[in-house]
Amino acid sequence: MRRRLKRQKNQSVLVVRPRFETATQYGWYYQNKYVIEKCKQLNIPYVDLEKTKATKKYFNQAIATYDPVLITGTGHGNPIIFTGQNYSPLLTKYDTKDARLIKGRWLSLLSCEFGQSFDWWIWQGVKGIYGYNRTFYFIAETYPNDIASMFFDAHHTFDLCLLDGLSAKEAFDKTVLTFNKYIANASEDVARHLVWDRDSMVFMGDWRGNPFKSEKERYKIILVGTNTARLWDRVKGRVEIIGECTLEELE
Amino acid sequence: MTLESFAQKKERAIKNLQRFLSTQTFGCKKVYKVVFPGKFSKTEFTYEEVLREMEAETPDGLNFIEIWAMDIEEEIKKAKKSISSSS
Repeated sequence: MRRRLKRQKNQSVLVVRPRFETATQYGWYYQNKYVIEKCKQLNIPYVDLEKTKATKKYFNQAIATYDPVLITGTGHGNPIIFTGQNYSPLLTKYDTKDARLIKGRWLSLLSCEFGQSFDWWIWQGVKGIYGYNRTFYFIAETYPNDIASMFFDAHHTFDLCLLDGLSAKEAFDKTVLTFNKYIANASEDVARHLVWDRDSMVFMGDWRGNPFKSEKERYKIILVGTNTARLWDRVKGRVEIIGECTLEELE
Repeated sequence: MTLESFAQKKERAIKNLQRFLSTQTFGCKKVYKVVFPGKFSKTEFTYEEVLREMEAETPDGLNFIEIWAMDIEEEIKKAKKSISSSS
């Protein structure tokens, strides 16, 4: 665990990033580039379970100790298991201990097919869970950049949006849009795999929610002024805009 | 629209197959090494043979067929449309 944290309820992020073969090597790199760097930038406390720390023992320990609101990770998976270092299972469908462990939390997992069990996790009390219900493909050429960055950039849009305070729905839509931007500009053979991954995305849970905001923190506001576009830029994603008017209209 | 010759088709198929084989996944199964040990030099297989074998042996083979069969021009058009409508 890289950063020592004070025990802060519902404010921290747990990052899981095993590294033991090619796919996890890429996942390990991009989780750091996107999620950890963003946490640092926004001063959001995080726990980093990387490489040999990405095992069940440390996973359970970190959740019990730091009570993270968001768990984000890359790891191999199948329809019922999400794994960490050396394919060690971290979450297993039908395991009630696992269900209790992640109840009330948000998850974002880059893992093949694990999305097929999301309904069960939601039934167990998970707030929101994002991932893929089919195999997630990415093209691995020159580590770590090159073509692979399109796939990981698109995937991590979801996490970055949540960290920015956007709702799950907004995060999901922006992730689709990022995939589309790459699809529109990539070569045909790369685009095929991007389309496949985009169409494998799945989110279940509180579409209007966000891990870092409680219900009380969601505001409805009316923008007042002559240049509301600038105001909109400053508050978008943080509040719900229910109307716009000029000062005269307000009076 | 020009019709592709068989040779062109085969060349395109091989190119796509090679691209597919350069993909990585976050799945727990490692299929290629098991199913196709050392078979991937251009002279050693035909596209049809590979498809047949992949379809028969692996879920990833089925995925490959679906990815390959995708109307990618249409998908790219839709993606461009979605970008322009969102901006």
